[in-house]
Amino acid sequence: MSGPDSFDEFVQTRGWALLRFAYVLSGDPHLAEDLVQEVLARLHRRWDRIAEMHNAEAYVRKAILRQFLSWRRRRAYREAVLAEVPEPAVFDEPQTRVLARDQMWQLLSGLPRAQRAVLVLRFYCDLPDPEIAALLDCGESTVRSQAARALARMRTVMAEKGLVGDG
Amino acid sequence: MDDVERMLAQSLHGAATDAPGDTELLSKVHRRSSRYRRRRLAVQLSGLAAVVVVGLPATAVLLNRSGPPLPPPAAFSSSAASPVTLVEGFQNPVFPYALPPTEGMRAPVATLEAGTPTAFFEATDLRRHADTMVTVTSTKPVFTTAADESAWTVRGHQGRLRTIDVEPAKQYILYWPEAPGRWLQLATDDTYTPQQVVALANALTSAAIEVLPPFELDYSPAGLTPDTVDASTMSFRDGAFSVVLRKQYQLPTTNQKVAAYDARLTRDARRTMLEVAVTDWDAVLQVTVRSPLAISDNDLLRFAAGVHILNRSNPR
Repeated sequence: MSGPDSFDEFVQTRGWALLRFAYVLSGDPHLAEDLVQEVLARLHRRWDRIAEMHNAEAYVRKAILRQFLSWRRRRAYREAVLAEVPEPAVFDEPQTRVLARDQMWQLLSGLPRAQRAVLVLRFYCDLPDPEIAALLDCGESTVRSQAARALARMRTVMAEKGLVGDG
Repeated sequence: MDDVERMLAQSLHGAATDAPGDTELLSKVHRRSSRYRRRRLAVQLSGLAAVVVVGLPATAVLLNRSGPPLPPPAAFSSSAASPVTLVEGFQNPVFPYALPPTEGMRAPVATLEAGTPTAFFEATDLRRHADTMVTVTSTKPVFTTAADESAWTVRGHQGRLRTIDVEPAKQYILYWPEAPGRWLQLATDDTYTPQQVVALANALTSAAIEVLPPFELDYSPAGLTPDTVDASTMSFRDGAFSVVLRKQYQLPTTNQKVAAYDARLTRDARRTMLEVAVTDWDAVLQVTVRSPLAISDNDLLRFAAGVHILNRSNPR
Protein backbone atom coordinates (compact mmCIF):
# COMPACT_ATOMS: atom_id res chain seq x y z
CA MET A 1 0.00 0.00 0.00
CA SER A 2 1.59 3.29 -1.02
CA GLY A 3 0.80 6.64 -2.67
CA PRO A 4 -1.60 9.36 -1.55
CA ASP A 5 -4.67 7.12 -1.87
CA SER A 6 -3.17 4.63 0.57
CA PHE A 7 -2.97 7.31 3.25
CA ASP A 8 -6.64 8.15 2.82
CA GLU A 9 -7.53 4.48 2.84
CA PHE A 10 -5.52 3.92 6.00
CA VAL A 11 -7.23 6.81 7.79
CA GLN A 12 -10.65 5.69 6.62
CA THR A 13 -10.18 2.06 7.65
CA ARG A 14 -8.06 2.44 10.79
CA GLY A 15 -9.03 5.94 11.94
CA TRP A 16 -11.55 4.86 14.54
CA ALA A 17 -9.22 2.22 15.99
CA LEU A 18 -6.59 4.94 16.40
CA LEU A 19 -9.13 7.26 18.01
CA ARG A 20 -10.15 4.51 20.44
CA PHE A 21 -6.50 3.90 21.33
CA ALA A 22 -5.89 7.64 21.84
CA TYR A 23 -9.08 7.92 23.90
CA VAL A 24 -8.20 5.15 26.35
CA LEU A 25 -4.71 6.63 26.60
CA SER A 26 -5.80 10.18 27.30
CA GLY A 27 -9.28 9.72 28.78
CA ASP A 28 -10.39 12.90 26.99
CA PRO A 29 -12.30 12.80 23.68
CA HIS A 30 -11.03 16.20 22.50
CA LEU A 31 -7.45 15.40 23.36
CA ALA A 32 -7.79 12.03 21.63
CA GLU A 33 -8.94 13.72 18.41
CA ASP A 34 -6.13 16.23 18.67
CA LEU A 35 -3.53 13.50 19.23
CA VAL A 36 -4.63 11.43 16.27
CA GLN A 37 -4.99 14.41 13.92
CA GLU A 38 -1.62 15.79 14.94
CA VAL A 39 0.22 12.53 14.40
CA LEU A 40 -1.47 11.70 11.10
CA ALA A 41 -0.94 15.21 9.75
CA ARG A 42 2.77 15.02 10.57
CA LEU A 43 3.13 11.56 9.02
CA HIS A 44 1.07 12.38 5.93
CA ARG A 45 3.94 13.71 3.89
CA ARG A 46 6.14 10.71 4.59
CA TRP A 47 3.40 8.15 4.11
CA ASP A 48 5.08 6.37 1.19
CA ARG A 49 7.96 5.43 3.46
CA ILE A 50 5.75 4.48 6.38
CA ALA A 51 3.46 2.36 4.22
CA GLU A 52 6.48 0.34 3.14
CA MET A 53 7.24 -0.58 6.75
CA HIS A 54 6.41 -4.01 8.08
CA ASN A 55 3.62 -2.68 10.29
CA ALA A 56 2.59 0.87 9.50
CA GLU A 57 -0.19 0.92 12.06
CA ALA A 58 2.19 -0.04 14.85
CA TYR A 59 4.41 2.87 13.82
CA VAL A 60 1.44 5.28 13.94
CA ARG A 61 0.36 3.96 17.35
CA LYS A 62 3.88 4.42 18.63
CA ALA A 63 3.82 8.01 17.36
CA ILE A 64 0.50 8.61 19.13
CA LEU A 65 1.92 7.16 22.33
CA ARG A 66 5.01 9.38 22.13
CA GLN A 67 2.87 12.41 21.38
CA PHE A 68 0.67 11.65 24.40
CA LEU A 69 3.67 11.26 26.71
CA SER A 70 5.24 14.51 25.56
CA TRP A 71 2.12 16.60 25.02
CA ARG A 72 2.60 20.03 26.46
CA ARG A 73 0.28 22.29 24.58
CA ARG A 74 -3.33 23.26 24.20
CA ARG A 75 -5.43 21.19 26.57
CA ALA A 76 -3.32 20.19 29.50
CA TYR A 77 -3.77 16.61 30.63
CA ARG A 78 -4.84 17.00 34.21
CA GLU A 79 -4.12 14.26 36.65
CA ALA A 80 -7.05 13.85 39.00
CA VAL A 81 -6.81 12.93 42.63
CA LEU A 82 -7.36 9.23 43.24
CA ALA A 83 -9.20 9.79 46.48
CA GLU A 84 -11.98 11.72 44.74
CA VAL A 85 -13.80 8.59 43.62
CA PRO A 86 -17.29 8.90 45.13
CA GLU A 87 -18.57 6.46 47.71
CA PRO A 88 -20.66 3.74 46.08
CA ALA A 89 -24.17 2.90 47.12
CA VAL A 90 -24.68 -0.59 48.43
CA PHE A 91 -25.59 -2.58 45.34
CA ASP A 92 -25.94 -6.21 44.64
CA GLU A 93 -23.02 -7.92 42.92
CA PRO A 94 -23.65 -7.20 39.15
CA GLN A 95 -24.44 -3.52 39.74
CA THR A 96 -21.38 -3.15 41.92
CA ARG A 97 -19.21 -4.61 39.19
CA VAL A 98 -20.57 -2.17 36.59
CA LEU A 99 -20.01 0.66 39.02
CA ALA A 100 -16.53 -0.62 39.75
CA ARG A 101 -15.65 -0.59 36.05
CA ASP A 102 -16.86 2.98 35.70
CA GLN A 103 -14.91 4.04 38.72
CA MET A 104 -11.87 2.23 37.48
CA TRP A 105 -12.01 4.38 34.35
CA GLN A 106 -12.14 7.41 36.62
CA LEU A 107 -9.20 6.14 38.65
CA LEU A 108 -7.14 5.72 35.50
CA SER A 109 -7.28 9.46 34.90
CA GLY A 110 -5.57 9.96 38.26
CA LEU A 111 -2.50 7.98 37.27
CA PRO A 112 0.70 9.53 35.96
CA ARG A 113 0.83 9.35 32.16
CA ALA A 114 3.57 6.74 31.99
CA GLN A 115 1.71 4.39 34.35
CA ARG A 116 -1.51 4.86 32.43
CA ALA A 117 0.29 4.14 29.16
CA VAL A 118 1.70 0.88 30.55
CA LEU A 119 -1.77 -0.25 31.69
CA VAL A 120 -3.35 0.62 28.34
CA LEU A 121 -0.65 -1.23 26.41
CA ARG A 122 -0.93 -4.27 28.67
CA PHE A 123 -4.69 -4.51 29.24
CA TYR A 124 -6.16 -2.78 26.15
CA CYS A 125 -3.61 -3.67 23.49
CA ASP A 126 -2.72 -7.00 25.14
CA LEU A 127 0.98 -6.44 24.50
CA PRO A 128 3.61 -8.46 26.36
CA ASP A 129 6.03 -6.56 28.59
CA PRO A 130 9.02 -6.79 26.20
CA GLU A 131 6.97 -5.06 23.47
CA ILE A 132 5.74 -2.43 25.91
CA ALA A 133 9.32 -1.79 27.00
CA ALA A 134 10.40 -1.39 23.37
CA LEU A 135 7.55 1.04 22.68
CA LEU A 136 8.34 3.14 25.73
CA ASP A 137 12.12 2.91 25.30
CA CYS A 138 12.59 1.57 28.80
CA GLY A 139 13.53 -1.70 30.45
CA GLU A 140 11.10 -4.52 31.12
CA SER A 141 11.71 -4.08 34.83
CA THR A 142 10.50 -0.48 34.52
CA VAL A 143 7.34 -1.68 32.78
CA ARG A 144 6.72 -4.22 35.54
CA SER A 145 7.32 -1.71 38.32
CA GLN A 146 5.14 0.97 36.67
CA ALA A 147 2.31 -1.54 36.23
CA ALA A 148 2.68 -2.89 39.76
CA ARG A 149 2.65 0.60 41.25
CA ALA A 150 -0.43 1.65 39.26
CA LEU A 151 -2.34 -1.54 40.04
CA ALA A 152 -1.45 -1.30 43.74
CA ARG A 153 -2.85 2.23 43.90
CA MET A 154 -6.02 1.14 42.13
CA ARG A 155 -6.44 -1.93 44.34
CA THR A 156 -6.07 0.15 47.48
CA VAL A 157 -8.67 2.70 46.45
CA MET A 158 -11.09 0.08 45.11
CA ALA A 159 -10.78 -1.96 48.29
CA GLU A 160 -11.31 1.13 50.45
CA LYS A 161 -14.50 1.84 48.52
CA GLY A 162 -15.63 -1.76 48.89
CA LEU A 163 -15.69 -2.31 45.13
CA VAL A 164 -13.34 -5.30 45.16
CA GLY A 165 -12.03 -7.69 47.73
CA ASP A 166 -8.71 -6.99 49.42
CA GLY A 167 -7.00 -9.20 46.91
CA MET B 1 -5.13 -12.03 35.84
CA ASP B 2 -6.86 -11.10 39.10
CA ASP B 3 -10.18 -9.38 39.69
CA VAL B 4 -8.85 -5.82 39.42
CA GLU B 5 -6.92 -6.60 36.25
CA ARG B 6 -9.99 -8.22 34.65
CA MET B 7 -12.14 -5.21 35.54
CA LEU B 8 -9.47 -2.88 34.23
CA ALA B 9 -9.38 -4.67 30.88
CA GLN B 10 -13.20 -4.60 30.68
CA SER B 11 -13.25 -0.96 31.70
CA LEU B 12 -10.77 0.00 28.97
CA HIS B 13 -12.55 -1.96 26.24
CA GLY B 14 -15.92 -0.61 27.38
CA ALA B 15 -14.69 2.99 27.48
CA ALA B 16 -13.11 2.66 24.03
CA THR B 17 -16.56 2.48 22.48
CA ASP B 18 -17.15 6.03 23.74
CA ALA B 19 -14.21 7.32 21.67
CA PRO B 20 -15.00 10.18 19.27
CA GLY B 21 -16.22 9.15 15.81
CA ASP B 22 -14.03 9.26 12.74
CA THR B 23 -16.56 10.88 10.37
CA GLU B 24 -14.52 14.00 9.67
CA LEU B 25 -11.13 12.65 10.65
CA LEU B 26 -9.70 12.44 7.13
CA SER B 27 -10.71 15.96 6.12
CA LYS B 28 -9.39 17.39 9.40
CA VAL B 29 -6.08 15.58 8.95
CA HIS B 30 -5.77 16.90 5.39
CA ARG B 31 -6.50 20.43 6.57
CA ARG B 32 -3.91 20.22 9.33
CA SER B 33 -1.36 18.65 7.01
CA SER B 34 -1.86 21.46 4.48
CA ARG B 35 -1.46 24.02 7.25
CA TYR B 36 1.89 22.50 8.25
CA ARG B 37 3.00 22.54 4.64
CA ARG B 38 2.04 26.20 4.29
CA ARG B 39 3.98 26.95 7.46
CA ARG B 40 7.06 25.18 6.08
CA LEU B 41 6.83 27.22 2.95
CA ALA B 42 5.88 30.48 4.62
CA VAL B 43 9.19 32.06 3.77
CA GLN B 44 8.71 31.17 0.16
CA LEU B 45 5.39 32.93 -0.18
CA SER B 46 5.04 35.59 -2.75
CA GLY B 47 7.92 37.99 -3.02
CA LEU B 48 5.47 40.19 -4.84
CA ALA B 49 3.33 40.55 -1.74
CA ALA B 50 1.58 43.80 -1.08
CA VAL B 51 3.56 46.28 0.90
CA VAL B 52 2.00 48.17 3.77
CA VAL B 53 3.62 51.28 5.02
CA VAL B 54 4.05 51.37 8.78
CA GLY B 55 5.02 54.99 8.99
CA LEU B 56 4.99 58.31 7.23
CA PRO B 57 8.15 60.29 6.53
CA ALA B 58 9.99 61.10 9.71
CA THR B 59 9.29 64.81 9.56
CA ALA B 60 5.55 64.21 9.68
CA VAL B 61 5.93 61.74 12.54
CA LEU B 62 8.03 64.08 14.56
CA LEU B 63 5.66 67.00 13.99
CA ASN B 64 2.82 64.87 15.33
CA ARG B 65 4.60 63.77 18.44
CA SER B 66 2.42 63.64 21.47
CA GLY B 67 2.54 62.43 25.03
CA PRO B 68 4.95 63.09 27.85
CA PRO B 69 8.55 64.15 27.19
CA LEU B 70 11.04 61.34 26.69
CA PRO B 71 13.39 60.26 29.45
CA PRO B 72 16.98 61.29 28.86
CA PRO B 73 18.81 59.11 26.33
CA ALA B 74 21.10 57.51 28.90
CA ALA B 75 22.59 54.88 26.62
CA PHE B 76 23.37 57.41 23.93
CA SER B 77 25.20 59.75 26.27
CA SER B 78 27.40 57.01 27.70
CA SER B 79 31.05 57.39 26.80
CA ALA B 80 31.25 53.71 25.81
CA ALA B 81 28.23 53.99 23.51
CA SER B 82 28.65 53.32 19.83
CA PRO B 83 26.20 55.50 17.90
CA VAL B 84 24.19 53.88 15.12
CA THR B 85 23.90 55.77 11.89
CA LEU B 86 21.34 54.97 9.23
CA VAL B 87 21.93 54.44 5.56
CA GLU B 88 19.28 54.19 2.88
CA GLY B 89 17.97 50.77 1.85
CA PHE B 90 18.91 47.23 2.81
CA GLN B 91 20.83 44.66 0.84
CA ASN B 92 19.26 41.21 1.20
CA PRO B 93 21.79 38.59 2.34
CA VAL B 94 22.40 35.76 -0.11
CA PHE B 95 23.08 32.03 0.17
CA PRO B 96 26.14 31.25 -1.93
CA TYR B 97 25.35 27.77 -3.37
CA ALA B 98 22.56 26.05 -5.28
CA LEU B 99 21.71 22.59 -6.54
CA PRO B 100 20.94 22.38 -10.25
CA PRO B 101 17.19 22.83 -10.98
CA THR B 102 15.62 19.36 -10.98
CA GLU B 103 12.14 18.12 -11.75
CA GLY B 104 10.60 17.03 -8.46
CA MET B 105 12.41 19.67 -6.38
CA ARG B 106 11.24 23.19 -5.64
CA ALA B 107 13.38 26.28 -6.01
CA PRO B 108 15.41 26.77 -2.85
CA VAL B 109 14.37 28.94 0.08
CA ALA B 110 17.25 30.65 1.87
CA THR B 111 17.18 31.70 5.53
CA LEU B 112 19.64 33.23 7.93
CA GLU B 113 19.53 32.16 11.59
CA ALA B 114 22.05 33.34 14.18
CA GLY B 115 24.59 34.08 11.47
CA THR B 116 24.19 30.68 9.77
CA PRO B 117 22.83 30.76 6.21
CA THR B 118 20.80 27.75 5.08
CA ALA B 119 19.11 26.80 1.82
CA PHE B 120 16.15 24.42 1.89
CA PHE B 121 15.32 22.45 -1.26
CA GLU B 122 11.87 20.93 -0.85
CA ALA B 123 11.11 17.70 -2.69
CA THR B 124 7.77 17.52 -4.46
CA ASP B 125 8.39 14.06 -5.92
CA LEU B 126 9.01 12.09 -2.73
CA ARG B 127 9.63 8.84 -4.57
CA ARG B 128 12.73 10.11 -6.34
CA HIS B 129 13.84 12.99 -4.15
CA ALA B 130 14.05 14.03 -0.51
CA ASP B 131 14.07 17.39 1.25
CA THR B 132 17.63 18.63 1.27
CA MET B 133 19.18 21.35 3.38
CA VAL B 134 22.56 22.93 2.74
CA THR B 135 24.19 24.96 5.51
CA VAL B 136 27.32 27.07 5.53
CA THR B 137 29.32 27.58 8.74
CA SER B 138 32.67 29.12 9.48
CA THR B 139 33.73 26.33 11.83
CA LYS B 140 33.60 22.55 11.74
CA PRO B 141 30.10 21.40 12.69
CA VAL B 142 29.64 19.78 16.09
CA PHE B 143 27.07 17.00 16.49
CA THR B 144 25.63 15.61 19.69
CA THR B 145 23.50 12.70 18.45
CA ALA B 146 24.98 9.25 17.96
CA ALA B 147 25.56 8.27 14.33
CA ASP B 148 27.71 6.06 12.14
CA GLU B 149 30.29 8.01 10.16
CA SER B 150 32.16 7.13 7.00
CA ALA B 151 34.79 9.00 4.99
CA TRP B 152 34.08 10.29 1.47
CA THR B 153 35.83 12.57 -0.97
CA VAL B 154 33.56 15.55 -1.60
CA ARG B 155 34.41 18.25 -4.13
CA GLY B 156 38.07 17.32 -3.77
CA HIS B 157 38.01 17.50 0.04
CA GLN B 158 37.91 14.89 2.78
CA GLY B 159 34.31 14.77 4.01
CA ARG B 160 32.36 12.63 6.46
CA LEU B 161 28.91 11.14 6.02
CA ARG B 162 26.88 10.71 9.19
CA THR B 163 24.06 8.16 9.11
CA ILE B 164 21.47 8.52 11.86
CA ASP B 165 19.35 5.40 12.14
CA VAL B 166 15.81 6.68 12.71
CA GLU B 167 12.43 5.65 11.34
CA PRO B 168 10.86 5.97 8.86
CA ALA B 169 13.98 7.10 6.99
CA LYS B 170 17.64 7.19 7.94
CA GLN B 171 19.01 10.72 8.04
CA TYR B 172 22.22 11.59 6.23
CA ILE B 173 24.45 14.56 6.99
CA LEU B 174 27.45 15.02 4.73
CA TYR B 175 29.94 17.66 5.84
CA TRP B 176 33.25 18.82 4.51
CA PRO B 177 35.66 21.78 4.57
CA GLU B 178 34.85 23.67 1.38
CA ALA B 179 37.53 26.34 1.86
CA PRO B 180 39.61 27.77 4.69
CA GLY B 181 37.09 29.02 7.29
CA ARG B 182 34.10 27.59 5.42
CA TRP B 183 32.37 24.26 6.13
CA LEU B 184 29.38 22.95 4.22
CA GLN B 185 26.74 20.48 5.43
CA LEU B 186 24.21 18.73 3.25
CA ALA B 187 21.39 17.03 5.16
CA THR B 188 18.87 14.68 3.55
CA ASP B 189 17.56 11.14 4.01
CA ASP B 190 17.95 7.63 2.65
CA THR B 191 15.68 8.26 -0.31
CA TYR B 192 19.15 8.74 -1.77
CA THR B 193 22.03 6.30 -1.54
CA PRO B 194 25.26 7.55 0.07
CA GLN B 195 26.78 7.79 -3.41
CA GLN B 196 23.84 9.97 -4.54
CA VAL B 197 24.26 12.20 -1.48
CA VAL B 198 27.90 12.78 -2.40
CA ALA B 199 26.86 13.37 -6.03
CA LEU B 200 24.38 16.02 -4.82
CA ALA B 201 27.15 17.78 -2.93
CA ASN B 202 29.40 17.59 -5.99
CA ALA B 203 26.63 19.17 -8.05
CA LEU B 204 26.48 22.33 -5.90
CA THR B 205 27.35 25.44 -7.87
CA SER B 206 28.08 29.01 -6.86
CA ALA B 207 24.89 31.05 -6.66
CA ALA B 208 23.30 34.01 -4.92
CA ILE B 209 19.96 32.89 -3.49
CA GLU B 210 18.41 35.89 -1.79
CA VAL B 211 17.19 35.53 1.79
CA LEU B 212 13.74 37.14 1.59
CA PRO B 213 13.15 39.39 4.61
CA PRO B 214 9.79 39.96 6.33
CA PHE B 215 10.07 43.74 5.98
CA GLU B 216 11.25 46.24 3.43
CA LEU B 217 13.55 48.73 5.09
CA ASP B 218 13.92 52.30 3.86
CA TYR B 219 16.92 52.56 6.18
CA SER B 220 19.30 50.09 7.75
CA PRO B 221 22.01 50.47 10.40
CA ALA B 222 25.29 51.35 8.73
CA GLY B 223 28.09 48.82 9.06
CA LEU B 224 26.07 46.24 11.03
CA THR B 225 25.98 42.75 9.50
CA PRO B 226 22.61 41.01 9.51
CA ASP B 227 22.66 37.78 11.56
CA THR B 228 19.01 36.64 11.51
CA VAL B 229 16.43 37.12 8.79
CA ASP B 230 13.31 35.01 9.19
CA ALA B 231 9.54 35.46 8.98
CA SER B 232 9.34 37.69 12.07
CA THR B 233 12.81 39.06 12.66
CA MET B 234 15.60 41.07 11.11
CA SER B 235 18.53 41.47 13.46
CA PHE B 236 22.05 42.77 13.15
CA ARG B 237 25.35 42.24 14.96
CA ASP B 238 24.28 39.30 17.15
CA GLY B 239 20.91 40.88 17.87
CA ALA B 240 22.33 44.21 19.12
CA PHE B 241 19.98 45.95 16.67
CA SER B 242 16.75 44.09 15.97
CA VAL B 243 13.34 44.53 14.38
CA VAL B 244 10.79 41.92 15.49
CA LEU B 245 7.12 41.57 14.59
CA ARG B 246 5.33 40.09 17.59
CA LYS B 247 1.76 38.95 18.06
CA GLN B 248 -0.43 41.75 19.36
CA TYR B 249 -0.14 42.72 23.00
CA GLN B 250 -1.33 45.76 24.93
CA LEU B 251 1.17 48.58 25.31
CA PRO B 252 0.90 49.78 28.93
CA THR B 253 1.33 53.40 27.86
CA THR B 254 2.17 55.24 24.68
CA ASN B 255 4.34 58.32 24.26
CA GLN B 256 4.91 58.42 20.49
CA LYS B 257 3.15 58.23 17.18
CA VAL B 258 4.65 56.45 14.20
CA ALA B 259 2.40 57.44 11.32
CA ALA B 260 -1.11 56.69 12.59
CA TYR B 261 0.07 54.10 15.07
CA ASP B 262 0.51 54.53 18.81
CA ALA B 263 3.99 53.71 19.99
CA ARG B 264 6.02 53.53 23.16
CA LEU B 265 9.66 54.53 23.40
CA THR B 266 11.55 53.34 26.47
CA ARG B 267 15.17 53.52 27.49
CA ASP B 268 17.24 51.96 30.22
CA ALA B 269 20.94 51.26 30.71
CA ARG B 270 20.78 48.08 28.63
CA ARG B 271 18.62 49.05 25.70
CA THR B 272 16.38 51.45 23.83
CA MET B 273 13.12 50.05 22.57
CA LEU B 274 10.39 51.41 20.33
CA GLU B 275 7.16 49.39 20.27
CA VAL B 276 4.67 50.28 17.55
CA ALA B 277 1.12 48.89 17.86
CA VAL B 278 0.45 47.90 14.26
CA THR B 279 -3.23 47.29 14.83
CA ASP B 280 -4.19 46.42 11.25
CA TRP B 281 -1.68 43.55 11.39
CA ASP B 282 -2.76 42.49 14.91
CA ALA B 283 0.87 42.85 15.85
CA VAL B 284 3.45 44.98 17.60
CA LEU B 285 6.63 45.97 15.82
CA GLN B 286 9.56 46.10 18.23
CA VAL B 287 12.74 47.93 17.33
CA THR B 288 15.44 47.32 19.94
CA VAL B 289 18.92 48.77 20.15
CA ARG B 290 21.07 47.20 22.84
CA SER B 291 24.02 48.74 24.64
CA PRO B 292 26.76 49.54 23.71
CA LEU B 293 24.98 50.55 20.50
CA ALA B 294 23.00 53.74 20.87
CA ILE B 295 20.58 55.63 18.67
CA SER B 296 18.95 59.03 18.87
CA ASP B 297 15.17 59.33 19.21
CA ASN B 298 14.95 60.98 15.81
CA ASP B 299 16.87 58.21 14.07
CA LEU B 300 14.91 55.48 15.86
CA LEU B 301 11.60 57.03 14.80
CA ARG B 302 12.92 57.59 11.28
CA PHE B 303 14.01 53.96 11.11
CA ALA B 304 10.62 52.67 12.36
CA ALA B 305 8.75 54.90 9.93
CA GLY B 306 10.67 53.24 7.13
CA VAL B 307 9.78 49.65 8.06
CA HIS B 308 7.28 48.19 5.59
CA ILE B 309 5.67 44.95 6.74
CA LEU B 310 5.31 42.40 3.94
CA ASN B 311 2.63 39.76 3.57
CA ARG B 312 5.17 36.99 3.92
CA SER B 313 5.91 38.11 7.48
CA ASN B 314 4.56 36.08 10.36
CA PRO B 315 4.48 37.60 13.86
CA ARG B 316 5.90 35.50 16.65
